[in-house]
Amino acid sequence: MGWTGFVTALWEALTEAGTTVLAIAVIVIPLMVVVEFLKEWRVFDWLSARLTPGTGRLGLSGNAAFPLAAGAMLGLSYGSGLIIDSTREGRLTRRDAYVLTALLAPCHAIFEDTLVFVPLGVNPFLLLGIRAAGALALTVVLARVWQSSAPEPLNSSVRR
Amino acid sequence: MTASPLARGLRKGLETTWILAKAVVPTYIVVYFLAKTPVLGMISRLATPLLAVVGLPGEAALPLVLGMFLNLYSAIGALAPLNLGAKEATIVAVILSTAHNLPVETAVTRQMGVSVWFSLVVRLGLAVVLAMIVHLVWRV
Repeated sequence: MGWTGFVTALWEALTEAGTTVLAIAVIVIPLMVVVEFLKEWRVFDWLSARLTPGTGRLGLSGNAAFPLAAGAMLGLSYGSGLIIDSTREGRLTRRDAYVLTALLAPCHAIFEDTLVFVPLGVNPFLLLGIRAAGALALTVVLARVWQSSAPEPLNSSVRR
Repeated sequence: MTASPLARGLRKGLETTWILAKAVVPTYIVVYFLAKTPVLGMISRLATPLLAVVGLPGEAALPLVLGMFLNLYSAIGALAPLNLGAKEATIVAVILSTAHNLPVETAVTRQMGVSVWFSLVVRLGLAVVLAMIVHLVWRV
């Protein structure tokens, strides 16, 4: 790779990375505005109280429900945006971040990541079923293990 | 917290985008240059014997490596010409939908305070286990 080749490649890499960041910004910024309004109107406190039984089964607090839903449907980067913000505010514990990662890292953007395989002859329901069941099973097991042995640092907030 | 919800949301959105950009941009550039070297091809050759375990032909190695290092779209570009059967295509899809775009997405989970090893082991481990289950259960 010559000098000009390197500069061209670097420029290409930067533009593509920039496009990715822009795509994140276009979703994360409006999402955060909506979240702030929902907090202002106390929708989250109401929602959290109602979702706690469901998320509790995974060892998560009710506060984790919204980042979980956003990540599962929109994608890891968008969900993680909410998770980073929530952990900085102390609304999520370090354990929440680990449980959410166990679930979301293998299973996020469930529509996009599933539909891209349809042209290859893959049954989308089967694919999503296997992926979601695997991620859920793993998360339930990890949540059990962490709940019973509760490693101290996992329960503290993330230092930043 | 005295500002309006709109101002707070915009500021937080920008802050979060910045945190993610710091993780995404450098990783993206490194992988972009790595893809231009013979490294990915070497990894594919090493992966070939492992693929037999999950019932895949050796030629599936390159799309899997591309998907894991880059993204699903590059992987699908490399997969389409292979004309895999329904079972093999499903196994590849299970592996890749579970574990893809690993450098960038792992950099993202690291920003959540989660260790790199945890993210990688969870995704790769689950991908392999699920692929083996499909391979063993699916009898054509």
